[in-house]
Parts: sequence; C-alpha cells; structure tokens
Amino acid sequence: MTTQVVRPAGAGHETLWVVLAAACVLLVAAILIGARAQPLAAAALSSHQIDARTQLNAAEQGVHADLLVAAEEIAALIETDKALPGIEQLRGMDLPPFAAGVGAAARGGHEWRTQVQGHDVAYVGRSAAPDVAASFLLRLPAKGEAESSPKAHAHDEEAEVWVQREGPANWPEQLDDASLTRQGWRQVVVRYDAGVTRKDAAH
Amino acid sequence: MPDQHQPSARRRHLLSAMAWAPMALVATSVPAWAQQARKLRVGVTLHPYYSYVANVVGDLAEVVPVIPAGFNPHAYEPRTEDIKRIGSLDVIVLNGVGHDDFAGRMISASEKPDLKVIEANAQVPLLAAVGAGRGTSGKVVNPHTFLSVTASISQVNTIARELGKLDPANANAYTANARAYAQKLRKLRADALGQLAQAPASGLRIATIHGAYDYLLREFGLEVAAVVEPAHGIEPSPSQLKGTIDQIRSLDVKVIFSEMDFPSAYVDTIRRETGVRLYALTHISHGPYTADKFENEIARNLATVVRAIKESA
Repeated sequence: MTTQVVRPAGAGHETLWVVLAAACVLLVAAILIGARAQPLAAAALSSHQIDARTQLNAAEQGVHADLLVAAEEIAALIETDKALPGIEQLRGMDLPPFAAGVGAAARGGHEWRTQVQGHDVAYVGRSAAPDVAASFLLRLPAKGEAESSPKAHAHDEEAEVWVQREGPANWPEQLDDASLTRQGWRQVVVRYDAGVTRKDAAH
Repeated sequence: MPDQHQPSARRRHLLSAMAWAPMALVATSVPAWAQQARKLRVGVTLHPYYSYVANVVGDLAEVVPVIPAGFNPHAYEPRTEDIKRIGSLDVIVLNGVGHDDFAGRMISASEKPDLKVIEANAQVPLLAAVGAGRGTSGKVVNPHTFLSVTASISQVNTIARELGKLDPANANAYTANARAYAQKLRKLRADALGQLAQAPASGLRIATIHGAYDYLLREFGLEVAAVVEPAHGIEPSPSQLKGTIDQIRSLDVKVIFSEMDFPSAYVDTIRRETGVRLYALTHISHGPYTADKFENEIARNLATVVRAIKESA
C-alpha cells in the first residue's frame, strides 16, 4: 500500500509571501517618504526674533514693509548726499512710515528719531498707541563694514527691523543685538516662499 | 527688334546696383543694428510687471509680455506661441510667489530652459495666503504684492538692481529710473491718504471677494476680516457662500471690495443678503500692456479705498 501525503489545498504559503511582499512595499515606501520629507515650513527662530508673517499684526506689517523700502531709499540718499538723512528730510519726501498724516496715525502714530552709536545707525519710532502697533527700530548696515568693502551697497548688507512690544518705553541706549534684546526688542525675520505650485523653485 | 527689349549694358549695371543697394544699406547700418540687438529683451507675465519694467528700463531695453493681453491670469493655460516667445528673451521677471506659477513650466519647455529669472518679490515681506485655506500651510503666501504701493516699490528696486547686474552699462540709469518711479508712486499714495480727514475707525471691518488687497489695505492700517473666495480664483459653492454671508453678518463687516475685472453674479447675492456697501477694485490684469497702467490703476484703487473709508465713517 502506498501512502501519499497530500498537503491541504490551503494557501498558507502564498499568504505568507504576499504578506511579506506587502510589508516590503510598505517598508520601501516609508523609507522613500521619510527621505523625501520636506523640513517644517517655519524655521526655528531664536528667542530674540519674531516672524513678520505670523507674529505681526496688520498695522505692524504695513510699517515693517514701509521700513524695508525706506531703508533702500535711505541707502541711496546716503550715497548721493554723503550724509545721513534726517527725519524732517524723509518726511518732506513723503517717505512712509516717516511721513506724518492719517496713514501714520492709523498705524500707531510713531514718533521717529535718528540714533547713532559708534558704527550703528538706527531710525527709532516710538509708538503712540502700543495696542495698535509696537515701537519700531530700523538699523542700517554698520558703516564700518560698508567702508571696508566699498563695493558693498546697503542692500547687500541687510538693514534690520526690530520691534518692541513691552519693556521700558525709553529710547534704546545701545544698538547692538545684545543690548536691544535686553531692552525687550525683537528682530523681525522675513521668510521668502516661492509659489507652491511652481515646479522650478526649491520649496 | 529683339535688341529693343534687351537691357543695355548700362541699364544692366544700373539694375544690378539697385539690386545690391539694400545689401549695401544693411552693411553700412550694421553698428546701429547690432546695437539694437544688444538691447535686453525682458519678459513679463503680468500687467503690473510690464509697467514696473517699462518704467525702470525706459528706452534702454525691450519689455515683452509673455501672455497676450486679454487672458485672465487665474485661468491661463500656456500656449505654444507664448512658450516660443520665451526663446527670444534675455531675462524674465516673475511674480514667483503664486500668481504666475505656470511660467516655470513654460520656461523649461521653451528653447531657453536656463533663462535668467528675476524674482521680483525677493525682498518683499510676504503675507500669509487668504481664503479658506488660510493658515493651513505656512508656505502658501498671498501673491498679490503687485496691488500695493510699498510692495511695488520694493519690486521695482529689485528689478532695477538685478537688471543692472545683467546690463552693467545701464545700471545707473535703471537705478535712477527706479527711484524716480518710486517717488511718483509714493506721491500717489500720499495724495490719497491726504484726502482722509481722519484715520479709519479701528473697528472698520472689511471683506474682499478676491483675496488680493491685503497688501494695499495695510498701507491704510486696515486688515481684511473675511475673504469670499474659498481659494485663489475659485468661486464659492452655495454652501460656502452661505457660510461667508453668515460670517460677514457676525463680524459686522462694513465694506466689501469686489473685483472690477472679473465680475461674478454671486456678488449681487452677497450685497442683497448682507446690505453691505460694495466697492470695486481692479486687479490690474486686464486690457493692453502700457507703461502707465500700474500708476493709473493703483491710483484708482487708492481713491476707491479712500472713498470707502470716508463713506463708512
């Protein structure tokens, strides 16, 4: 009598292989997705920095944008006049945010002054209505650096905008990072993001 | 007899001289022609950028709109002839933050896939995107920087600086033109603000149909409380429209800015349901490309905002 062992017609082995193959596909996909993941949109900011897009209100965003444009105009004036333009001169040119009037009043009614300390030059605007907008400070690129590299224009060495929401409401004594931070000033950081459906730009 | 119809030797000379004359003309005018050819050809995608570049370069370069006038940039699909036009450019100026995202694909499909691109918004502090998707991703920004004075001046400066790098011989002229143009634009804004006797009330709530005017309204210290379109250039569904109308009522919105260039029937529904005053602003994306288009239309927008503020006081 011959005995033949016939294995049951179940698909145990096939199931095992299919499960294994599926696990492999999942593993490969997980590795690929992990490797291609984009970094989080918001870059980590230092404690003395705030983000222009998300941490300023509408009035402050308006003043901030005006200050960045004003910095370019001021740099051009310094180049032609060889002197730092005063607030009156800027106001006479209707250069926002220094220009007086309804626009300025609606955005905090800042009182502007120039401040020069060593190599640091700044335009400081103290807010008349801190609940509408913070106080602002525009620090121009240090003169010393510009002189050491005559080709460097002010826009290559970025002008910086700082805001002060709390802290002593007096004019800043020192204009270096550490002193400003100590007095409650925060540097406004601008982030550039290209159109999200652009294929050619890095995101 | 046949001799009468044959040109004489003298006439043959004359004819041959006349035939060669155009060639001689070309030969003597080569320097001028070559100079003409050296003029930069600067491509632009949107109307305001045509005005920016035209004012920066004056006669020193040629401004070439890539998209023919009459196309709505929100619904534009690249066409072969437009892609072909890119091949003739030396440089292209882009909005680059969401209003001409089609341009990248057009450039890579063109004869000049490595065309130099000027990112006009490189120095502009960008605002977050508006609409229902607002805040879902920190990377989606509001691309309408070309509808405000300050952000436009920043772009004009960037364009002048970058064109100066490409064409150093004319760099000083570009910078001078950019400054003069910026001063002109600043004056428009100062004149508009000068017509306001008092600052807008701090509680003035504003809604817009198209999420395009945040940059402009920040110049008046105003914020947009609600945007009707659920996403850029997308009409709301009936349920979304109802949601917006409820929102406009609950937020006590006083003014709605609608679109002059892209009118929609549902805007009347909003006016009927809420009773809020409507004012039409222009998206500056319609009609022929001209150098003074931007200044004329932004002046109109500034005047409209001033009127809205006055009438809501």
